[in-house]
Parts: sequence; structure tokens; C-alpha cells
Amino acid sequence: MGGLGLLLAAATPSPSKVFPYPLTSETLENGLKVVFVRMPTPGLVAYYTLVRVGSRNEVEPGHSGFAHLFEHMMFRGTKKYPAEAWETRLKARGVDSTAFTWNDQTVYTFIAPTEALPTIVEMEADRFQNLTYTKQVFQTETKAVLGEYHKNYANPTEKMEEVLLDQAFSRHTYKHSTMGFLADIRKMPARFEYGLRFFQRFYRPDNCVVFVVGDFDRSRVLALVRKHYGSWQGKAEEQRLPEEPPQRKERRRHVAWETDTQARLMVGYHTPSLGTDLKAAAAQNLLGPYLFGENSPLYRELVLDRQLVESMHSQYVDTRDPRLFYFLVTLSTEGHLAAVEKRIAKAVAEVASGKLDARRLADVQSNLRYGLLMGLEAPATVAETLALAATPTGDPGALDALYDQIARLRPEELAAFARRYLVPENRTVVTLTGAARRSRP
Amino acid sequence: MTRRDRSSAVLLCASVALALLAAGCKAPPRKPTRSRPIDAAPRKARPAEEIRTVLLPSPEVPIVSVRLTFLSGSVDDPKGKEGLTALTAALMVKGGTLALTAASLLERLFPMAAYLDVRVEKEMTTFVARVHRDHWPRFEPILVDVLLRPRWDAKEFARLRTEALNDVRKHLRTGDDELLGKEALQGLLYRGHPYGHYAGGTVRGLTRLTVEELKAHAQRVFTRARLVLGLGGAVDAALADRLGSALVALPAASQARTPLPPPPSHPVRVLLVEKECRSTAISLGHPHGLKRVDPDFFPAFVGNSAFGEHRQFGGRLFEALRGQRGLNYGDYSYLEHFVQDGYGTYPAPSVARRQQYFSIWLRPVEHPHRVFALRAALHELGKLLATGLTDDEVTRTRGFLKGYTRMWEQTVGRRLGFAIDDLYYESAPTLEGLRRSLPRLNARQINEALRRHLRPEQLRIVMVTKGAQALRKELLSGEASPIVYPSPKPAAVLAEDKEIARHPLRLRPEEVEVRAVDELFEE
Repeated sequence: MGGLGLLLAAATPSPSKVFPYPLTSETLENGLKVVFVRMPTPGLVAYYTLVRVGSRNEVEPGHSGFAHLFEHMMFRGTKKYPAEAWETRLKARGVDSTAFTWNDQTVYTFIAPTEALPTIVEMEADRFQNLTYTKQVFQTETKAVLGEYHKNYANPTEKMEEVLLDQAFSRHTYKHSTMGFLADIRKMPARFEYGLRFFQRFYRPDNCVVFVVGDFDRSRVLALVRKHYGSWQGKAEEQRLPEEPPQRKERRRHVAWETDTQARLMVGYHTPSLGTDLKAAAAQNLLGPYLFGENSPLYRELVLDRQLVESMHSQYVDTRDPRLFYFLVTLSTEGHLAAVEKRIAKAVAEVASGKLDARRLADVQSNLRYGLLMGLEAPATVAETLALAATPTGDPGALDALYDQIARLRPEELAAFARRYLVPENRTVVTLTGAARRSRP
Repeated sequence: MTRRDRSSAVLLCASVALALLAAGCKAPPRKPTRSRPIDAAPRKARPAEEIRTVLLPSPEVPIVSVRLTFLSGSVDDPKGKEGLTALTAALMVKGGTLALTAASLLERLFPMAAYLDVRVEKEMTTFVARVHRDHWPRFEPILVDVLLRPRWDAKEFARLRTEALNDVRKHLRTGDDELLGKEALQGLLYRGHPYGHYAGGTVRGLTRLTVEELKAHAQRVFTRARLVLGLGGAVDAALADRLGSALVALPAASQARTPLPPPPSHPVRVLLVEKECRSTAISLGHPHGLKRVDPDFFPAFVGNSAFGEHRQFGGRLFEALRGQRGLNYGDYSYLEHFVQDGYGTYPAPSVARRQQYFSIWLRPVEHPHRVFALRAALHELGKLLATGLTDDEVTRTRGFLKGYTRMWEQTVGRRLGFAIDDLYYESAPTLEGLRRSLPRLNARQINEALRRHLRPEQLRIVMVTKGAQALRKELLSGEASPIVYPSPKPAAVLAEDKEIARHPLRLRPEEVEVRAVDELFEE
């Protein structure tokens, strides 16, 4: 082992209050974190790399959607393993490989037979250090991204979220969705040079966390990681993100969908996030199901009794910077948008006034805890859960900290959160209605 | 290495435990038996033994997974009552029990984060439940009541029927063009056949239903004779015994299974669905008679994987359309009816059926490229059959499937689902059998199997698009559909494009039908 791969931190057991498997982590000298979770999945392993770059980092005007485009480019090979060889070599070992991009993260995923791990570690390390592609390949891939945009935006909810973010944010990059603005996607073919710089700026060891989950030999994997990632150098660019000024007045937009679809209501409030305020993040994780869960008075009244609403969901996600607590309601029948909005506003005001049902809150806490445990059956879901929880702070133990806080949050703390943030002047409301016209051939 | 040895033992234990248990059996699990087909009449024995059970204990998993699969589905919907089976199952699962209103049911399940839902397909209805073992004692009686004592509540019926109608009118028709294309293809392939309607129902069919009809239908199709009880994870024989004994109270006999005529022959080869959309969704396919037990099944399975494995890079179709030409987001092919499991990429179990079809799915392409994309897919299929897969491709695909199919079995629920499917197909465990057969399969066997079962001339095509009449004209004209790229392309790609642009379609006017989207799934 060369000096570059020296370990800075010894293995430290996680506090592991909710997370049911032993978790240890190491940090290489170059800043790359590696998290190990052993679980009984004979012969199978998940190898996930979290890069803490997402649509949040797209600060340059006209360049929205680039983190996602770049995720596509990462499958275009290196000098040692050009695109086809990269695929071929992994495929021949039965490796399932893909990736996803979101607000704050790009995650590269492998689920594979354990015996493929040496190949995966070598090739992933190579790709992260030596990615190369031609302008022509880049331009072809931009067209696939455009195809993905079209696929997604046949869905009214995706469109509503795009509008909500655009309205709610004036300066911060959460203004655009991960796909980016359509106008920017259309300009992507001309941005080859920018793509190369993107790689240099963000794909750096101190900006990445590798998760190895399942059935593997820890010391062998660690030795492989040291060998193949040890010489990776550089620091991720420190970005100054534009700060979002406080919202002073309610904002509203209506979307007239061009085909027949159910009316929908989406409301978002500016709130702190897991990256900045653990307690506020716990409050929002609880408030979503407390207000809109299937055991809530709102659900009973609007979905079951009055049958005005088909479904209601909190859409809140844990992020690095303050973003939104928001929810989506899909109506069963036309003509009740205003009544539904009013009824929900009343439920929100009740929470703020301190009218909370302690027993139901305990049920929500139980639901979140068991929901988490039920989602941790396979290595892939474990790796994904850890990667998403680690994104806001970079801390692999963030999941336990969050769930610990969720379990300890008291009704009065929820009420205080609602009083401060869930107020009319801090909200953005998006409504959508369909057009009941026939499509004539 | 110690850890790995222990893990192997766990795996062995699980595979031995994959057994068909008579529910009353306390003895160690028996090996699966193929002697009794899954749809045979129950044996004359004490009632508890009538429930066919697949038990897959995995002591290291703290979750109880249950799959109650009935060999019932939309084929059991009477004519004019399309959606009856799906709505019946939905009302059972979501409409409350005699003891619990729908609201109380949700309140009970919520703190457990228990999952309880139902999937209705053409020939299988599966009640799926998952709950942490801490909650099983409270969950078990609820599950039994959902099956045996549904509330048949009129208000819940009204709510769930509205939901089902919205699913057809406002989601399937207008909210998801890709799903629309796939469902419209099934409608086209099986027009007038028991597979011909959307399992969720038609607008007219759903509108005609009454609660009394649902109640009566449950007695006919959700019966002991049609049930396979699947249990896995934190379970043991005693639990299986208890649940099996309780479910003996289901109606014993079923109505006869719906006979299936051969897939219909009709003149329409292309269905163009007119709707407001930014891009064109394309699905094409043809029925085939290949069964899982046929010697050609594994060779054709491997060949299809090389051609277009679902949501994977590197298949021939994907490489040609997306990789080289950037026409869309992805392009895949399927040897059997395929449903993706949730947001993942793996196939959902419990979608088994007696008749199968081959299909190709092109994710939406920009309207100006729609004819070129269709021709590119046909051209690739033609190439596959004409020149076949190479030895290298076969070696690579064998290696891929050896590992990749193990990913399909990562959770107990999925393993249970596949085990029940194997019973249905009366096949040896399919995935295990496939992996065992891989080393013996060569390019010649695979190419011959593909040529025997894939028939480009029989493909029917659905295109969901805007400007369908203009498209019809273009398709019938037989004129070339050249493509222009915004960026340079290799000479080989451009040369092949010229062939693709002229790929013969040979369509006659009566073979190309145009329908407004609102007309689909109406009755």
C-alpha cells in the first residue's frame, strides 16, 4: 500500500439506534469515505457511490440539468475501458449497474454477485478518475436526456413540481428540477466543454462516499479500495450558492393541463432542512404523515367520508439547503379545489395552535420506524437509504441521528415548527386542472 | 471466510425449505412436488390440507411476507362487466372488514407500517402482505378477515369505483403514454379474446357493477381451489398451519376456469392512438406458443436478453436506437408478458398466464423520428434473426444472466412470487433451471430458437402520437423516412440509416387503424 492510501480514521461502530446492521466506516487520506455494512445476503453485494453533486450545484444560468446529464456521461467509458468494454466486462459478471441524480446527489449503483466485487472496485475507481468521451458521444447523449424529459413530463404531477419550484424560489438553485428547464436541455449539445469542467469540479474523493453492503470480506474490499482509489487526488470546488431571501407573500400559479386529468393541489412552504437543522428535518418527517397519512383526520374526512380526494401525500425530502415542506393532493372529482385547500389549511393551523393528538403522533413515530426497517431487507435498499440520509451532511451515521430525533420529538415542538414555517405568507400554491376535450384523430 | 461459509448454509437452508406444504403438516418441509398441477381440483383430505402452501422460512429476515395467489384474474370478468375481478379484490383489501370499517382498518395498519395490497392480472390475483414480525400477532387476524369477512361497504364501493374509473380515464389515457402504449398493444393482440380488456376494467364495465355482483364474484373466484398460500421470512410451519386452517373457511369450489381460444386473427396490424403528447410511445408484439417447459424456452430467453433486456444498457436494440442514435431514453424486448416491479428494473412475479407474447417497447421518441424509430426496431429484429447472435454476445449474456437473475430473488416476497409462478407453469424452478442450463447453451441453439418463435411478419404495432392521420398516410405511402442529426455520426451509422429509412413496412389501408384515445378502454 502506498502512502496515499493511509487511513485516517479507525473503524468506529455506529450508534445504531434504529439501523439494524453493524455499520463501520473508513476515510482514506484523500478524503474518500467508505462505509461497510454486513448483512446476511449470501453471495450478493451492493456497491454504491454517493457523489454530493446534484441539481443544487447548477448555479450558472442556462445550465440546469447538467448534473443529471453528467450522470449519463459517466457510462461512456475510459481509455482503459471504453464504453462498450465497460458494459461488456461488467455484464459478463452479472452486474446490475445504474445511477440516479436528485437535488443534492448523484448515486452510482452496482448490485452484483460478491465475486464481481474486485472488478467493480477497479472499474468504478477507473471511471471516477479517468472518464473520457468524445464530443460526438456527448451530443448523442444529450438527445437521450431530452427523451427522458419528454417521458417524465407526460405526467401532470411532474409538471406541477416544476412550476412549484420555479415559483417558490427566486435565487437558490432548487428553483429548477433535477431534469432542468426544457430550454436548457435543448442547449445541452453545445456545452461539451462545460461538461468536462463539471467532472473536474465535483467528481473528487472528498465529495464522495462509497457504501459496500451485503456479503463481502471487509479487509479484502478495503485493500482493493486503497489500491484503486488511493492515488485519486483533488478537492471538490467550494461553491457559494445564492441564498434564498425570505418569502413575504403567498405565491400562486395555475396549470391548465392540455388533456383530461384529475385536478390537483400542491402547496409548499419554505423550511430548513436536514443539512441545516436536524430537529426541523425530524419535524417535517413527522408532519407529513401526521397531516396526510392514512390514519389522519384529513384522510378520513376528505378521502373516505366526503370522497373529494383520491390521494394525499407529503412530498418533503431531506436536503442540504433549506427547501420546501410540500404536499400533493389529487382530487377524485372536479370542482372542489377551493374547499379542499381550505380544509387542509385549517388542519395545518390546528397543528400550529398546538392541537395535537399525542397518541396519533406516537403511531406516526412507530410507522416511520417500522417503515424504515421494512425497507432494509435487500442490500440495494440499505445502500440507497444510507446514501440518501448521508447526502445532506456527508455523515454516514445521519440515518440514526434523524430517526433518534424523530422518536424524541414532542408535540409542542411540532406545533412550534408549524407556527414558525407553515404560515400563509411563506407558501406557494400550485393548482392544476385538466381539459375534458376529446382528441380527434 | 467464516462468514461466507455460514451464509452458504443459510442459502441452502432456504432452498430446502422451499417446499409445498400441506397446511396441517408439522413434519420437516417436503421437496416441491410437480405431481399436482396448480389448477387441479383439491384433494379429498381433511380441509386444512386443501390449501396449497409454499413456505420459505428465512430466520435472519425479521419480516413476514405473505402472498395469497388466486388463479383468478380479469379473464374471469363476464362480458360487459370488465373490471369486476379487480374491483372485487380492491374492495376486499381497502373497504374494511366486518370488524373494522375502512378507516379503522387503516388506523390499525398504520403504526405497524404494514403493507397490504392486491395485484390483479389477466390470470392471477395476488394479495400481498408484509409486516415486521413484532406486529404479526395483531396483523394476522386482520389479514384473515380481509379474505374471509370483507365489509362489502357501499360507500367504499363507490369510492373505489371512482378511483378505478379515474385510473382508466385520467391516468391510463392521459397520464402515462408508455403504459397506454403497452396496454393498447395487449388490446390489439387479443381483440375479442378474454385477455382483450384492461385488467383494471373498462369505463362501461365498471359503471355497470354493483356491490352484490362483487360479493357473488368473490365466492366464485377467490376460493380454496384456486388459492396458493405463500409465506416467507419470519415464519414457521406452525404459522402456516394456523393461517392455512383459518383460510379453509374460503368457499371450496370455483367456477370453471375461463377457456382460452387462440389469439385472434384480425386485419388490423397497426393501431395509431391520437392524443395530445410531446412524443410518440411505441409498442409492438405478437403472441407465441412457447412454454417455459419447452426446450426452446431458455435459449430464446437468453437470445431475448441479448437483444433487449429490460432497462439495461448494452442490448442490441438499446445500443442501436439510444446508444448510437440518441432517439429516446431506452428500447427493450420481452419474451413473455412483463411488468416491472415498482420503481426497480426487475420483473414482477405473479403475472403468469397461459398464453404469452413477444414484445418490443420503444420509449417515447420525438414525433419527427417516429417512423424512423419504428423502422430501426424492425431492422434490428430482422438483423437478429438473419445473422444471429455471435459467440461473444452469447458468452457475455450467459455471464450476465447467471448473476443478474439472482438479483431478482433478493427479497423473500420475490422468491415466494417466483416459486408460486413455477407451480403455475408446472416447471422446475425457472431461474435456477435457467442458470443451470447456461453453460450448455450456444449461439446456434439460441439463434435457431429465436428464428422458430419470433415472427416479424406477425408483429402488431401501437403508436401513441399526435397527428395520427398524417402518420397513417406516411406509413401507407411506403416512402423513406430519413433522419437528420444535430451532431455528426460515424459513417457506418449513417450508411445503416439509409437502409433503416427504407425498411419495408408493406401495409395496406385496412391494416392501419386510427383511434382517439378516449375511445380506448371504453368497453
